Amino acid sequence: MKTASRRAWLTALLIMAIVFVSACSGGAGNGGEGATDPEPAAETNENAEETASTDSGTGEEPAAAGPLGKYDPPVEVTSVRIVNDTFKYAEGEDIDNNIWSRTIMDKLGIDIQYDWVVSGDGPGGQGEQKMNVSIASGDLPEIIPVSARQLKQLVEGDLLMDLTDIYEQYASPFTKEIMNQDGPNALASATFDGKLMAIPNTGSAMDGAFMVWVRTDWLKKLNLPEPQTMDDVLKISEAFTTQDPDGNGKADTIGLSLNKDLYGGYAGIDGFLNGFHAYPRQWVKDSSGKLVFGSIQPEMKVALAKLQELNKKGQIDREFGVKDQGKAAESAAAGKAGLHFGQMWNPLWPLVDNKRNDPNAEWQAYPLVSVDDKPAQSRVNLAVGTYYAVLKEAKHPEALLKIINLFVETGWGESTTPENYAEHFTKDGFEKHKYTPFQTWPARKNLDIHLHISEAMDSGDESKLNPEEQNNYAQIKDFLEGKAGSEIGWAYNRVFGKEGSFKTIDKYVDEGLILQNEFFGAPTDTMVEKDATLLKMELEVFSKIILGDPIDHFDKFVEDWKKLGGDDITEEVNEWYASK
Amino acid sequence: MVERLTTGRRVFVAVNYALLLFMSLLCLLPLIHVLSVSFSSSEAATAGLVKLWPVEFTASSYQFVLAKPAFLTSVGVTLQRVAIGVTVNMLLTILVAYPLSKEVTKFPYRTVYVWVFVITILFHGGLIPQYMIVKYTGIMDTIWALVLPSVVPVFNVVLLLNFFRGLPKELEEAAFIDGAGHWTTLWRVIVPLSAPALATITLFATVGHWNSWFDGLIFMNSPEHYPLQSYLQTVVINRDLSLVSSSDMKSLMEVSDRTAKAAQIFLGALPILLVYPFLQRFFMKGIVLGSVKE
Repeated sequence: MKTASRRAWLTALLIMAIVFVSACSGGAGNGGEGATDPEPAAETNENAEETASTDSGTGEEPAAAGPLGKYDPPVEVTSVRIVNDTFKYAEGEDIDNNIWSRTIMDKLGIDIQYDWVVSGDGPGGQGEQKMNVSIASGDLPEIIPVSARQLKQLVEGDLLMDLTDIYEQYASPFTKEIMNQDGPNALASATFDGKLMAIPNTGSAMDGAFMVWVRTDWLKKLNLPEPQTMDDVLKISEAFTTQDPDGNGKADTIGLSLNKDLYGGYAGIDGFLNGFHAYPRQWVKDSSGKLVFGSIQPEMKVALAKLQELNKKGQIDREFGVKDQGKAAESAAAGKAGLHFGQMWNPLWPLVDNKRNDPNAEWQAYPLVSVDDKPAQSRVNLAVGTYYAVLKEAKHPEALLKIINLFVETGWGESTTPENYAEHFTKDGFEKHKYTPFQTWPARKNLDIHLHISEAMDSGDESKLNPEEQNNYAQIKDFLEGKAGSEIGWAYNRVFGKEGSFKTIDKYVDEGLILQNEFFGAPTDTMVEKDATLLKMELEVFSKIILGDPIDHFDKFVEDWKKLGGDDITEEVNEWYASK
Repeated sequence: MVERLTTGRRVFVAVNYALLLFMSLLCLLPLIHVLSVSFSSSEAATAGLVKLWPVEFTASSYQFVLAKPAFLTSVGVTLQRVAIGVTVNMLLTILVAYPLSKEVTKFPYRTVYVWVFVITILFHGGLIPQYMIVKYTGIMDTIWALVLPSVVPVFNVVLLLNFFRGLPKELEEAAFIDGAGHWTTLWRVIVPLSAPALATITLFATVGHWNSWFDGLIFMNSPEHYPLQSYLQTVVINRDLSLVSSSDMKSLMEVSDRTAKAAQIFLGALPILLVYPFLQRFFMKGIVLGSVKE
């Protein structure tokens, strides 16, 4: 009997263990990811030296002078790739074999070999984790796409080649122009002690400017004016909450959409705060010429108090604290929200879903509104997501610049033709430009699309449009002609059309209403260590204040922020600023 | 057997059932929600109108997903991994657990060996050493990188060896008297008697292999070699919309692809859901009652 009861116990234990393990197994795999903080290993040097010495025996290096000169015989360059699941390929093609790999081979004589390819390009996502492991284990290719933080680690580990001279010698004039189109910050952010250590993949800072998005069909219905001042916006928010804009007789609409991360390109608070001249998570110059952190300035407190007031009046979704951008967007798509602060691309997602559900829905972007007579400026961040660094031992560092030269020349250079562009960028509905291993983008590209399309809409002359613009224009025309299922044309019209969101960006650019982050160096030492904690604390305190915590908690937050590393960071940032 | 229930007992039973029902619903409802989203139209899903029943029923997301080569390849990788991984896991678990279940008198250094194994549960080399071992063993980017690093699941070994120790020693002795060696005893006596434990451990191993995604990401060098969960991770994870670059605007339109994501999540979970009921019956059987008189 004794053994029998023991057996019963065992069986019970086993069953409990099943429940326990299967419940926990979902989380178990995630445990390791946080621990992938890498330290550059010394092995790389040895490995690379070995390969270098075995290969250098061949003697003659293929000569390839000039920004677009061809290697003959072809050379091999190793790199790695971080892709995402929007990469689509034609039948029989893949990341190693596509129009760009062939063109790069034909025109430049460069054969790119990827040591690995990872899908998942978000910050802290799969690509970054895999790269961290590669850096930590010293398993690096010749040309390495990295984040600002990883770049700093590699520079400190003394693994990278100084690219200053190579850039001067091999970057084409057009590449150099693009590198500086968004200001000198992009290159400066890759410069350490006066040496250019990586080539930035420049994007467009102005494309990240914030604006007010309003449902104009609701404005008309409720007889409200277009937003010109902060007061107008507050009035709209109140009316959208209380006056039943969707006309279903229920008080189920939201005034101002917010998401739980507070910041971001859709339903963030950035644009609202900018209207109060508060610039969260950004370094701004104070009256004495020093750099200070925007999140702890007194203007923030005023703006947060206002948000708290809106929340008290029920104008903010009560559940915003648990809704990410995707969830927050459901309200807009379902026609329950008609006002938010966001970026120029909002019509493409999620507003187009609202249009699909309700053909009468109409959205319009307006410039940020100000709380006083000083115009509101939109904050923007440095638009460099990726840097291309080159290992010291690489034999053909200039290959990086040649490929970038070829990319920009094919895209927007004077020698390219519409056919050539289509072949390499958009043909057959594939976003072929994504295949290019090393890219850099003109900052004004999207703004130019808007200007050219507006011009074409006025004159009816499409001949001046480049292929990308023609593609967008065709979709806009489909919508204007009332074709079924052309909602995406509506979205493009709201972005690039005459009254599109780029009209607002154009105004910002003309009137100098874009405020760049004054700090654009690599993260400082204390930032690397403390930033995550500080940002988390900020998010928590601000969310709670909006949800009803006493506004004085802001003062405590400022003190805590300074104590917990903020003062050190400020000092480091100002040191960087002085040495710039 | 008729039992008279006291009031207290009745209240307890009612509360108990209510609580269990509530907890089952907590587990079940998200699954049903995902299922109904996967069968709804894209517009309804993005507007958040779908609760527990499909809105504007359509199976188009399943057609889309099942025609997607990346999804099917990753299912293939996972099936291969489960087939190889679980078989090898089970074989090694049994072979390790059997000697360790012996008494110290028969196997003098038993405790030492048990600790050698248990220490690997408590202390871990860490990601980077593991990565380097996999790299320098040359199994990077092959199915073996997913199978070999965790080939002896020590937790399962401990479970099994304790189960072995719970079996009546008389059965084993009888086998020895009849002339069986360790090998025969293990496979002809011990293993057949351990069906409940083996079923449980098989389940652990299967679920473990099916669900793990991080090793796929780290040890595989191209997305075509990803197992299912690593692939799903790339599909389902939310993109950070504040970092949309000018080259990326078209990708935005795929953010709304919620129904397809739901379909893939559901298809990914389905096989493992189906395994449970089949293994469950083993938990009831295999009890060795009555085989020994004491």
